[in-house]
Amino acid sequence: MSRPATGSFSPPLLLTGLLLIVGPLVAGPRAARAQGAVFTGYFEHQYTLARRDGAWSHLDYDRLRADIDAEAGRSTRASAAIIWQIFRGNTSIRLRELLPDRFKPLAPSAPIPIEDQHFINHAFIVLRPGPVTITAGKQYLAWGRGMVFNPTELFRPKNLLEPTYEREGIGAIQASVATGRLGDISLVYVPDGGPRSSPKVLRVRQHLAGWDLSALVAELHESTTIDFMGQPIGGTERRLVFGGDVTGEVLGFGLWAEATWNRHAGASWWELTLGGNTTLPWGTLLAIEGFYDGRGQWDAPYPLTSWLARLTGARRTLGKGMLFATLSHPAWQLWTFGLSGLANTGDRSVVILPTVLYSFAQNVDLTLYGYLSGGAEGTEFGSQGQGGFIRARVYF
Amino acid sequence: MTSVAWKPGSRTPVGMLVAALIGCPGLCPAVSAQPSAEEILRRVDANMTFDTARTTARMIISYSDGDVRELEFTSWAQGEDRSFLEFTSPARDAGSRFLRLGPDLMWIYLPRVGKSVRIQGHMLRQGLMGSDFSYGDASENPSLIEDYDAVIEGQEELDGRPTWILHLTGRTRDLAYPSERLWIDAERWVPLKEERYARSGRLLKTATLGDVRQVGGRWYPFRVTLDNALQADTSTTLEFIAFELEVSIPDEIFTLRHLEGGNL
Repeated sequence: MSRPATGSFSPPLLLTGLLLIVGPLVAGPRAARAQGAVFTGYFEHQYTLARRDGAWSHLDYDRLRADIDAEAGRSTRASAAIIWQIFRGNTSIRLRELLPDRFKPLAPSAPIPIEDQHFINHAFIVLRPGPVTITAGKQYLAWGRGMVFNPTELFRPKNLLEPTYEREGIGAIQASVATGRLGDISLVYVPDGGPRSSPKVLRVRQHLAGWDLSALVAELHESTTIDFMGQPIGGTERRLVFGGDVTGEVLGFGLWAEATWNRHAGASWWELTLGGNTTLPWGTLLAIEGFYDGRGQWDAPYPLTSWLARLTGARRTLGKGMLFATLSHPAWQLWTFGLSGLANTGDRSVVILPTVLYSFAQNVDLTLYGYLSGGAEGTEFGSQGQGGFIRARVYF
Repeated sequence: MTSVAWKPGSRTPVGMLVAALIGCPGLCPAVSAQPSAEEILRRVDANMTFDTARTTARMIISYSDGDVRELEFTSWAQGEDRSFLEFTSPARDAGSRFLRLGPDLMWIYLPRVGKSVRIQGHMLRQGLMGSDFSYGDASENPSLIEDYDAVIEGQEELDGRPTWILHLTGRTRDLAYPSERLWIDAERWVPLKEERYARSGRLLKTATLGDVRQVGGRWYPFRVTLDNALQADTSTTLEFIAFELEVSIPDEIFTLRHLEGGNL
């Protein structure tokens, strides 16, 4: 899959960036919309403090996102966003810090730099010839109803510790045909390597008897190769996925289920998510979600390949059974308090995530986020340490 | 409830007849001729429901410490069930969209995630974009007479207007507000005040409606202020900037594919 480009700006990109940022500031919001284009974005600053292996580290970043959306009549639309992000503080990490004690001696000592980056978050065109919708370019392929665990999210898994944070798009060509008000059939082609090795997905959605349903079949070619101490681990294998999700409500409780059956490298396994939510009369939202990963283990110790697969995003979890629970309550004035927990039901390791959101001004949000991990050494969350961040975001 | 403009209802045959009368002040019945509670509800439904509408509105959320948040949106509505709404400001919320296709069928589109999410079950209790209006308020059947039995409690002058006071009792258990008390303008058939109660009898919300204007031969409140008893530190005022009735709306608007990235 494509990754954020890093390095210096090329002139066209710089020019585009300047237009995106300076244009609206000089001309003002009304002028920015004058020719059917809408310029928006945000500036975000975050300071993160973490304690792991008995040592404190901190990381500070600035992130600027500039969006442009343009419409050309009723049948054509374009959308793009560029992100710049610069880091300060402890701008490197050692692989050994992310592995359990028994694998630390094997890990290379060279630090992995956290580099400043700029990249196109998404850039796509939507064309609508008749009932067909064609979306071409780097786009969102965000599927499945799961809050944290989305087996049908094939290309950009959520960050388990902050699942609602935005994710980068995927370069793809998608053709959809509407089948009624709430249904469609979509074909997705993700150019990556040669035509044979490029992922292909067929996805169908429909609404039946009060339930939202989807089903998909996908062919992927996943690379799990990692250069570990000069030795490549893993390889590229064809993966077949059959899956879907269902969303509805029973007695006022929101319910969802999402599952995939996978076949990869001679093995097959299920991934299954079940969840539900409710809102109490005083406005508190409660949600709970369970996840089963047939590839996982019921208990530690986990092999090195599993740890590396999780670090690269090829695996969502190490364990077979995961539980997520969250509550949030809009409290006094513009404050929202939340508390979430993530647990590996097999090795009994947990992460507790308290959050505070404060709407500081009309277009300014402050987020205070903490994480506290617990569990034996070598368990899924046992070595995560403690920490948190404070984030300010200003929208324009 | 009738106070939320982007959730219209289709007319009953009786309602259409009454609606035709309402456009002619000289033909409106005198206040002293007491109609039945049912007749009052029919007249309110006839006045407040419509086939299609396009609305631009401002939502002002006021906090007790003096803070204010303002949001603007445009909405399209068709029949009892279909409505589509897009927030256009502030920048933080611009591009957030809602699609409603029935009492319990609502979806929200989150532009920065590129994903639509069903608003399920008791999630309807949550405030719409942090306001005192809940998703449930936006999801009610706009036709009062279909959901409630009514009795007349009396007459009262409110803001210089003669009103009938009606007490409504829900016919089914699944209503967001099992009982309500309404102050109905006796000449314009517009609610000027609404009190909404829980099954326990506890007052949940009070709506005050004002700036009543004539649009397309009917009367409509251009300002609604909602006080939520469970959210005592806020109140929300909805002001209609533009309100067009019986407009032509492409059917395509009320689809999931439009919600997830359609042109408007």
